Amino acid sequence: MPSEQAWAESLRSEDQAAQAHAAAELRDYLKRTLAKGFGRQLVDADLDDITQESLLKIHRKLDTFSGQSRFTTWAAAIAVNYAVSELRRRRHQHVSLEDAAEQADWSADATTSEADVELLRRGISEALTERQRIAIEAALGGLPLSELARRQGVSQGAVYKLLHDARCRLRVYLAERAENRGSMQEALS
Amino acid sequence: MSERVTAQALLRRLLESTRERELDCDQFQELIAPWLDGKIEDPAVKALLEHHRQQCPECGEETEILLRALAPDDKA
Repeated sequence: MPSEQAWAESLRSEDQAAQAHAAAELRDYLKRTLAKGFGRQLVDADLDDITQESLLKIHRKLDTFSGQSRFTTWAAAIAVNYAVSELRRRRHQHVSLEDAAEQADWSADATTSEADVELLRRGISEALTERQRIAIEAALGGLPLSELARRQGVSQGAVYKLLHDARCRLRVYLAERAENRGSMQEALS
Repeated sequence: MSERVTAQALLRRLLESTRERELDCDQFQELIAPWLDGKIEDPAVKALLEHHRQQCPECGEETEILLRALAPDDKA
């Protein structure tokens, strides 16, 4: 295996033979690494396809590698991120936002009364924007953020921010109501 | 068999641990490699990374897979 820095430099090299050799070694490394991380979740042709696609993604992002980490860690992080998103996409691609929201189980339990569940659900309806409501209900029903992002044509980070804003709004909503009824552990402390 | 987490329990947990400042998934992904390599020294940034890992089940799962993938091979 080449040294970390030499590997990155060979992939950027103008020398076609050196670049091809480095790419082949990187493909082998990614395949071994993905197989080790995912085990039986990712095998055979799927493993080959995702390895190849990861390699292309890494090539496209090479200019952003700044040397803040080892090259292998950086490349593995890109490959694992792509593999996880792709497996989630395959699993959830036919689940609509509405169906996902319906999957959510809103039953009360020992720590949350029916009245508190009702308050949470009312907060979602009353305090959030339509986009926030749709996203939070689908996410609570099990739809991955990466899938929400793919469908909305935005990054996963943008969906996370949307949901973070929604949580902040809900906390304010619950705190205001806690003043009146002293509920839900003083509006979640 | 693991019990399914109800929507209200998940939402309550997320609300309880919500902070004004959180990393989003894109920021987490940019920092995950240096973090796992031990190159992040600022305790505040490390705390933000750990918080996001707990708060975002997807980035949390990804981190677990990546740690498993990068773990040294067992020597026979």
